[in-house]
Amino acid sequence: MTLTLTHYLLVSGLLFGLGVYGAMTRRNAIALLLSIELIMLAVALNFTAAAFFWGRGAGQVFAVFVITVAAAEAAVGLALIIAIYRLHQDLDLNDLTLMKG
Amino acid sequence: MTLIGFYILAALAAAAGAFLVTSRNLMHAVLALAVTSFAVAGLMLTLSAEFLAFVLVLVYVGAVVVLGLFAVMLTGYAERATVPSSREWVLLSALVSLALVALIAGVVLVQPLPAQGLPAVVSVRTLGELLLTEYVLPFELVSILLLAALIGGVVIARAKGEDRA
Repeated sequence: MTLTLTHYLLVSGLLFGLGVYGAMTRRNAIALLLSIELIMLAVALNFTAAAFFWGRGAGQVFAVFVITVAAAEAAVGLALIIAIYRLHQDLDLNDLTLMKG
Repeated sequence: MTLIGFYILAALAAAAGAFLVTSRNLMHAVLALAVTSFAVAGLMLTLSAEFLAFVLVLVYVGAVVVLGLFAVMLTGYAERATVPSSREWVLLSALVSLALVALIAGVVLVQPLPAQGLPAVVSVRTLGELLLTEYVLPFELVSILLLAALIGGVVIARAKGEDRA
């Protein structure tokens, strides 16, 4: 039995599902951000696998974009988290109602 | 040989990912992201995508995980555990994500994928040429996004009153 695209799609689907579970259950802002990074990781793997099995470079190009966007998101997200922590001394998302007016 | 490597790396990625989303200690969760990134980078190596694997380790382990560790330590979550969601909500989330994974797996396994050519290694040369010819516009846009994120990160995280340096 050889490795096929299906193998990789199943693994990245599983990682994606784990990320979604984390994004839904986590009440801490840092943990939520980490779960979203996990989702992005799964997507990058998916693109890379598609690039290899179809023999096209475009998949790898978009994997590069996904990794870049994940880095940008982590930078801004963690900066926001630190700013929120300065205001509240807490990062529980259920208690963050700053924008409620 | 590659098959065994694939299964080991896939199991490692899944286990570390599961630990990441369930651990109540944020420090452990951040370190689990590092392990998951290494495993996924290994999976990319089995796909002959060396450049992407190295970039992934560099960006995820070198930048995202380090940033995450800084955030955890700056906010004092290194010592205290996080509050879990209510039991019903956890159950509902587990059901929803299980349904999602089942849906993905079902579609991948049942639906025949469009005809694939022979697996082909995408060389770094091809990747570079694509980035600077066909995909030059998204490439430039992403670089502007990174610049904006850099400036935004500095401005947002700076404490009030520090602007008159």
